[in-house]
Amino acid sequence: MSTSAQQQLQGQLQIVVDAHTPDSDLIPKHLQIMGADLRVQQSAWMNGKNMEQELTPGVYMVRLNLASGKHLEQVAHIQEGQVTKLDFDISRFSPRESQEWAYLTKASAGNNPEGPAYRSGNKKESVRLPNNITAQRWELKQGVWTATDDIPIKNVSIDEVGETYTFYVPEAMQVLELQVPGKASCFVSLPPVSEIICMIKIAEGPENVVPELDISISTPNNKAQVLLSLITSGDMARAKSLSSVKDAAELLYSKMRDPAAAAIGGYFLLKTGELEKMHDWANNLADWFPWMADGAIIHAWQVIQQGGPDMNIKAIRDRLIEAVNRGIPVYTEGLRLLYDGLTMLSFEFKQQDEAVEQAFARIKQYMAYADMSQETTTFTGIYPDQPGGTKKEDTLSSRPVKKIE
Amino acid sequence: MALYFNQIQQGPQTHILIIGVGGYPYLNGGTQAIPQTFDGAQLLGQLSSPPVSAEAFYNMAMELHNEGAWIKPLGSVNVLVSPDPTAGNLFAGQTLEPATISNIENAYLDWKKLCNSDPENVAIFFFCGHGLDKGEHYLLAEDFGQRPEMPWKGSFAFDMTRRAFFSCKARTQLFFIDACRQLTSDMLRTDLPANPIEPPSLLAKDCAFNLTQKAAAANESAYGKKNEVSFYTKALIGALKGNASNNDIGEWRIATGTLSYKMNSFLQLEAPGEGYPQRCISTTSDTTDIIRFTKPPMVPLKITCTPDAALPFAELSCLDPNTNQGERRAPQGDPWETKIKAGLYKIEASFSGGQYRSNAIFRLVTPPSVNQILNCM
Repeated sequence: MSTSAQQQLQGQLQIVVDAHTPDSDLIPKHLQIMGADLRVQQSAWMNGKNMEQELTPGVYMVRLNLASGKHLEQVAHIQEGQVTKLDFDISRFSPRESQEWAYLTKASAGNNPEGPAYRSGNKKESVRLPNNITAQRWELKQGVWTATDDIPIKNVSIDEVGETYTFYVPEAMQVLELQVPGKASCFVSLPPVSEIICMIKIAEGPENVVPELDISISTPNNKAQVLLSLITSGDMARAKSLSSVKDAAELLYSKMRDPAAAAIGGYFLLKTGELEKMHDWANNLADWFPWMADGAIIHAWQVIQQGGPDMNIKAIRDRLIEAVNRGIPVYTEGLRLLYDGLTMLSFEFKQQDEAVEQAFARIKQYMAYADMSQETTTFTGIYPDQPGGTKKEDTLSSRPVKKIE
Repeated sequence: MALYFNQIQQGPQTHILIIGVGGYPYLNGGTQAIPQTFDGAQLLGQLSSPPVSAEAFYNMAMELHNEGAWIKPLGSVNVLVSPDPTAGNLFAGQTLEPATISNIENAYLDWKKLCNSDPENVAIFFFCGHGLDKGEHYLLAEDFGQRPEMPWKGSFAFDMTRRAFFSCKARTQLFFIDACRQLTSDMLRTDLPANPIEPPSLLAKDCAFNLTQKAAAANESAYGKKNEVSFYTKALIGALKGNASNNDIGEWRIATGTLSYKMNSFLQLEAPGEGYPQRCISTTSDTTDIIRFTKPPMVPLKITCTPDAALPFAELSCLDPNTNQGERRAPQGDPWETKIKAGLYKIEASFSGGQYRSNAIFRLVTPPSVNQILNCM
């Protein structure tokens, strides 16, 4: 059969994705076209608004998957020589255009509070909304945490819909502190990129109490952010289809432009066990960004996973202690690996290595107050170096941190 | 070792250790209750759900074995269970081995040895009982609280133990922990012990396919109704029996990654609107398939019409959309309840008379069940 004859037997499926904003069109979305038996016939990532696909005539289920775990499904009737158009309205997932990125990429963002799937329990009306929320940014430089008043969140009220903010911050070890009167402050690591988008809203839940806040953080690197969401949720099959090992290695190699994306690439390669693809880049990430804990953690874990009888335990030890001295990992995956690595070192040295024990004790405190479901390291506490507890009236704006040696 | 199932052979197999602790004799309501010294222990009592949950998990494992669904055939199931004082008959015909700390340690080491016999083995660990958490998750054995002056003696540090298990050769390792993760005020003031069942080692590389799933997030609780399977275990069993399966590659399979990213949605289905703020937390590495069904899942399907009065006149059908072949039902007064293979269907109500409007829709029919109401106004 000639090529033209084959084409005559096909019909065309046109996919159009409707979002609130053009920026959302650029967020990778996973499209699956399934037969009636739900076997996947075609699978592709969409990085734009439109896609076309030639298909044999028949009835198909078309599913558009988002990194947040949400999906939309429609049935397509493909007829010979005809065009079938499907519109996927993903704007329905978000109450406001400024928040769309969070609802499309973050599982923790939950459901649209103005949509039918929102789960607030039956006591929503009696929930007291937190107000007078104020934020500040803490930066760790030369062993001192210093608060800076450059975040545009002052005495705001937050409800279920929430608010979105954009910050322009330096490349540094830094955390955002959200102060809620009468509650422990919430600290969130900020990725080292110049532009950060942040959505703050009441966490979805049925509790009839002053609710906890959900804080979502993102950077303009859509592909890295989607990859981070997928590896955080454990959807590794989709993560691997989005990012080949080569792509992830390129993220890691791109560290000079985007060290946050490089860290995400490093965590992905560790999860998939592709250690040889990391070459010496994790070591470089750790060396070239001496204020970022994640590089040191990724390099330590590359050495751990490579294993072997001549494993350099001193290098692992030094890197993990260095990571603790650098502050807090940007990503929760880094906090988990730091805790696991120090656990093993503590046993390796039979609890006799003082520096390891100090580092381990410090990280245990963070673990006790961290929300491990978040992508970026998130914990409650008094100061960036003091997880747990509630702040008193007199607060400090500068906190030296003892270096572990 | 309470091996309830033993078909250990050479070659890759699935080996399961199940621990259900509901009876805590030294805690509130226990048969030998004694005053406890720290507030964490003072607040804890008897649990009716974990033994029932452990039994349900065991039954699920055996059902999958009987269907030939484990990709690595079932080799062994070892069970430790401590029923609460009010528990009914559990594991009929089996001798119950209590989940004391010493039995847990022995069973864990025996199970690890079995798992270690082949790198292609699948290791599955299931625990349901009390837990406390301060960065490290402590799981409490039956004899927790026996020595109030040494309160952590009847517990083990789970996260460290899980880390230690990476020294096992099995490339696929699954840990399901259905326990609370509350942090009490005197835990904050105390350095808690590093008491894993075995010490973790730097020389142990992570396994290729890890899924470690906890039923609750840190500082949160895992819930269940009295004498019933807990919400998380119900969701997990449903997922393993087919809810988490897909036919992406032309065979209905369940992957570890799917269990990770879909479990919270399954958990929400178990207690809709009841106000349980439970969310599970997973730690994963790469993903692999562990269950394969030879046939598509059969999905309970209920079809009815609105208004109700239309139903006695409606011919209902559920058809393959490409072939128009499938099941039909003549008009009857009750909703049509049937079971069909998972898939995409054309579901239709048609009327020979003109008093109601025929209606057809395309519907994805997937586990756990589908309820379709056709508007025939």
